[in-house]
Amino acid sequence: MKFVLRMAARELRASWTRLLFFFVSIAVGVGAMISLGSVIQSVRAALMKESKGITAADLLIWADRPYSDNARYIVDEKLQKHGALSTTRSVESTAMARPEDESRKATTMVELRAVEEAFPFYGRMELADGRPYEHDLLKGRGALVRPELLTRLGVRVGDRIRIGEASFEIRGVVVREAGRSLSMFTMGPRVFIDHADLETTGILDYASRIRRQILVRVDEDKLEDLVWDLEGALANEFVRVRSYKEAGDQLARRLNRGESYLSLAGFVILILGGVGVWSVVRVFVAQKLKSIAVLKCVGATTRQVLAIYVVQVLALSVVGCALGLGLARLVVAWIPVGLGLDVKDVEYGLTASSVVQGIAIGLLVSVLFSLIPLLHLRLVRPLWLLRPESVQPGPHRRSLRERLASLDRMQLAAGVILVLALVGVASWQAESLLIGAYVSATFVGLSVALHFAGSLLIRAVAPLSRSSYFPLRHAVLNVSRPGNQTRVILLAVGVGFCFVLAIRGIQTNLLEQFAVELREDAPDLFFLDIQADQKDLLEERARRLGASTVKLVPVLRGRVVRVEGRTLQLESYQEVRERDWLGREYTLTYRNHLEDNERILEGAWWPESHSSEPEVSIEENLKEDFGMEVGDVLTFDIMGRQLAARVTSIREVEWADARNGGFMFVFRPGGLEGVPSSYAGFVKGPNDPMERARFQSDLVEDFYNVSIVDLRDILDDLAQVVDRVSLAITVVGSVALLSGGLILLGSVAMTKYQRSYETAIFRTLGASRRRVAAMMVLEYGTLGALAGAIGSLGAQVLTFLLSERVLEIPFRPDVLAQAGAILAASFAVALVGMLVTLDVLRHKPLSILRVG
Amino acid sequence: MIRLESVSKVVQSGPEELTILHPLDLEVPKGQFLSIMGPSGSGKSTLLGLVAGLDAPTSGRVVVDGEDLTALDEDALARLRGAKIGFVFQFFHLLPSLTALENVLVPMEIAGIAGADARSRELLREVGLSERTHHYPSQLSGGEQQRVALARALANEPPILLADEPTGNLDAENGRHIVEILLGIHERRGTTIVLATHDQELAGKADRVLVLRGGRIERVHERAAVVPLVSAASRG
Repeated sequence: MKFVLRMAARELRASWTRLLFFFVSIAVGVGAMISLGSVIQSVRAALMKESKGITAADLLIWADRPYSDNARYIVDEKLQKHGALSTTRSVESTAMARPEDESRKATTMVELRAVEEAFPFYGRMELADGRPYEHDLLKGRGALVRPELLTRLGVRVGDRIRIGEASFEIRGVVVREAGRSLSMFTMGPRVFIDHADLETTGILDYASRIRRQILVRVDEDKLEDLVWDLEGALANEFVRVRSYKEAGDQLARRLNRGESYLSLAGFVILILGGVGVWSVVRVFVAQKLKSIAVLKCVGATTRQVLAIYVVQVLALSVVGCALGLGLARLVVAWIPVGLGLDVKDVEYGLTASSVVQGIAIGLLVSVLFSLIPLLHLRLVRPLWLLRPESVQPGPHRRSLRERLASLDRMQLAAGVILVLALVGVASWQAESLLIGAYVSATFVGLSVALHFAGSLLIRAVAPLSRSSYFPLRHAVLNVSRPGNQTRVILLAVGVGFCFVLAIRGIQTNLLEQFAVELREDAPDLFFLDIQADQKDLLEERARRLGASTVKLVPVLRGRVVRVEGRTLQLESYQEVRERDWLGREYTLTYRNHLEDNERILEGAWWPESHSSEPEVSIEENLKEDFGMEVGDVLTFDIMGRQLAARVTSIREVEWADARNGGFMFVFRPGGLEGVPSSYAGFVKGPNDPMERARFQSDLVEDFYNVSIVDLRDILDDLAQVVDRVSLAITVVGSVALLSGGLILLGSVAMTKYQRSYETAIFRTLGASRRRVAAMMVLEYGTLGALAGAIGSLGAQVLTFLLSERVLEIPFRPDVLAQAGAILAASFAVALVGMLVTLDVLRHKPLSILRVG
Repeated sequence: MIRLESVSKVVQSGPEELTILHPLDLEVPKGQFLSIMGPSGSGKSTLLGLVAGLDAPTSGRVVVDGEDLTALDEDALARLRGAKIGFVFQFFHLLPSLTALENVLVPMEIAGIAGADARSRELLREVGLSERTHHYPSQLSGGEQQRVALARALANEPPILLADEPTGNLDAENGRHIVEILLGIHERRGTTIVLATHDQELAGKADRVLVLRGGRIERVHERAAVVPLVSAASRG
C-alpha cells in the first residue's frame, strides 16, 4: 500500500498541470449540482411557503356541516398524536352585506371569513394603506374588506356595514389575502371579521353554506402521516382534510416539473463532467502506458498498478469536488444579485444535503468514468518495451467475430456498472425511475450509435483518400488510421451535444407551457351569482360597458353520492369519499354545445333537443382515475336533492385553455330542470385600471347581487412566481450549455497530446503549417458535424421522451435549432482542432520527436 | 538456472504468421555470462523476452530458477521478475516522472524491502551517480540514464540479469563504462547474465556466445574460441 501511495504522489507531482482539465470537468459538474441543488431547495422552500400562503396553514380541516362529537374527538386525538404545533379556527360562509346607512339601497353577497388571533399561519395579508395586518383590527366588530365591496356598496373605510344581524365597522381594505384558494370560485368579495363576532351575525342559524375550518401548523416531516391518519379516520364523516401541498393544483404541478428539470440539469452537467474526466484519463493512460509497462516489468502486479491510478483519480476527484464546492458558493452568492431577485423572498445558500449529494455523486461519477479507460491498464504488457509493434494491431480489418472475441469483458462490465449507476443517480435526482431510465438509455444508445457512425464514416470517406488535395487526403486517412481520435471526438461531442441540446429543448417546451397559462386575451373577471332572469341583460350591459369577451354558463354545486357502473360500483357516499377526489363538491353546468377546448373521446354528444332523462358528459380523468364508463349511472346530491344521470359521453378538456373554464361534469339541458341554478360569467374586462373599476361598479349598480372576482390579482401573483421559475430554468439551461460546451471542447482539445507526434513528423517532412492546420480543420470539422448531427438526433429523442412521457408537456421539435446546432458543433470542433494544432505547431518538431 | 525446452515463438503480422523463433533448447547454468548475437530480426530480443517472462512461447517451456514460467499468470510473472530477474533495456525505459533515486527505489518498494533508501543510494554510488540522485531522466545523458537503469535492475539483488542491447543507444565511451559495470557485477556477485548485443567487444567478454540467425541457433561458442568466431558471426 505504501508503494501505491508513494507512486501515486510521485506521478501526480509530475503531471498535475496536465490534469487541470480533470479538475475543471469535475469542478464544473459538482459545482453545478451543488448550486442547482441548493437553489432548488431554497426556491422550493420559498415556493412551498407560497403554497402554504394559499392555505394559510400546513393542513386544513373543514366540514360543511357542524362537526359531530366523533369527528371532533378524532381530530383532537390525531392532532395530538402527531404533535401538531398549533391550531386556529376559521369559518367561511356566504352572507349578504349592506351599508348601515339604510338610505343606500345597495346589497351584496360576500364571502365572509371569521378568523381567530393566530390567523394566518402563513401567507401575507396586505392592507391598501400599507399598515401591517393585525387581528386587533377585527376585534370588537371590525371588518377588513376587499376593495370591490366598497365599490359595490358605495362605502368607505370607517363606514359601517351590516352583515346578517350585526353591524361592523370597516377598518381597512385588504389587497392581498392569505388563505385564498386558486381553483375555487368565490361567491362575493371577501370580508374578514373576528371569529368571536360571528355569532352576533346570526348567520350560523340560517346560512346554507357554512364551512367550519381548523387550520393546523405541524412539522413538515409529520404532515403526511397526519393527513393520512386523519383522512382514514374521518372517512365516514363529512369532514375533509387537505395539506398545503394539494393547494393550487396546477401551480404545484408545474413547479414540480420545474424542479425535476433543474435536478436533472444539474445531473446532466455532471455527466458532461464525467465525459470530460473520461477524455482526460484516456489521454493520461495513453501517455503512461510505457511507465506502466516498466512497473510491471520490475515486479508490480496489475492490482498495484491499477491502484496507483485509482488513487490518483480519487485524489484529483476530491480536489475537483472541493473546487466545485467553492464554485457553487460563488454561484449561489451571485444569484440574487445577478438575477435581480428579491432577496427577501428566498434565502439562498448552500444546503447541507445538496453539498453532500453533489460531492458524493461527483466522486462516483469521476471514479466510474475514469474506470473504463483505467481498466485498459490491465492489458498493458511489459513486452511492449521490447516490441512496441506488439501493441498496435495492424490496419487489417478484423471480422465481427474477432472483434467480439477481443472485447474486454471487464471494461464492458465497468460500462454496465456505469450505466446502472447513472440510472440510479438520475432517478434519485429527478425523483423518478422513468427519467433515470430514459437518460441512461439515451446515453447508451447514443454511445452505440456514435460508435457505429464512426465505422460508417470511415468507410464512407475512404474514396476521398485518393484525393489530390493533400489536407483532404490526410484528413481522411487520419480518420481511419490506428490510434485515430475519431471515436473519442464523436463520443465526447455527440454525447455532450445531445445532453446540452436536450436541456435546451425541454427548457423551451417548459417555458411555453408557462406562457400558455397567462395569455393576454384570457378572461380576467369571473362573474358569480348571476340569476337566470338577469343573464341576457347582464351580457348586453357588460358588452356595452367595454367587455371584450362575455361568456355566461349556468352553474350548480353538487356531489357524487353513488355510482352504478360497469367497472365501478359505489353504493354510498362513504364509498364515494373513499375514492380520492371523487367525493368533493363539483361545479356542474349544462349546455347544448361543446366548447372550443373540448373534444369527445367516447360516446356521443347529445343533439340540440332537451331530454327528460338526465344525461351527463364526464371528463376523461374520471374515466382514467375511477373507471367510469359510458352507460354508467351517477347519482348526484345537488343542494340536498338527489338526481341520477346516465353518462353518455367522455370528454377531453384542454385545461390550459382557461377561456371557457373547464367542467368535469356537463349535463344535458333539461335533466336539471327544476333545480335552481345561477350563472357564472367569464369576462375579459377593460385593461385600464380606472376603466376597469368603473366597469365593475357600473355593472354592480344594475346587478347588485352579482359578485365579480378580478383574476388579475391571482394572475399577477402567478406571473411573479412563474417569472422566477422561468428565469431559473433559463439560467440553468444556459449554464448547462456553457459548461457542456466547455467540457466538450476540452475533451476535443485533449486529443492534442496524441496529435503532436504526427504533426512533428509532417513538419519534418516538409508540410507547411497551413497545410497541417487545414488537415486538422477538415478532420475535426467533419467529425464535429457528424457528432453534432447524431447528438442532436439523440437530443430530440430524449427531449421527446422527457417532455411527453415524464413532464407531460407537449413536445415541439425545433428544426431550425437542430440545424443550427449541427453547424455550431462542426464549427466549434473545427475551431478547437485548429487551436489545438496551432498550439502543437508552436513547438519545434525536434523537441517532440526526441521525447517520443 | 535458466532452461528453455523446445521453445518457439510465432506471431501474427497483419494477415500472415511470422516465425520469430523456431523450436530451440537452451540451458544457462547459474553464474554464467551468456551473450546472444545475431543480425537484426534474428530473434535476440524475443528470446530475452521469453526468459524474462515478458512474453509467452508459442510452444515449449521456459524454466527459470526452477519455476515454469508458462504455468504462471501475469501477476505471478511480475512478482518473479521483481524477485529474481533484473532487466536492462536498450532505450533505458526509466519512469520519467521519478528522480534517479526514486527509479531505483521502485522495485524495492514493490517488494516491501526495508532500508530501500540507503540501498538505492549505495547502488547509484556503485554506478557512479551519487551526485545525480535527484535528477529526472530528462536531465540525464543517455549514459547516465542507462546507469540508473542498471542500478534499478540490481535493486532487489536478482540472481539473473538480462540486458537487451544495453549499449545500443550509447556512444563508445559510455558503452564501455556500462560493460565494465556489467563485468564487475558478474565477478563480484556471480550473477547469471544473459545479454543480447551487436557489440563484438562486449560479446567477447562473455563466458559463452550464442549466435542466432533466422530464429535458429546457428552456433554456440565457449569463451576461448569466442574472439575469432565473433568477427565471423558479425560478418554473417
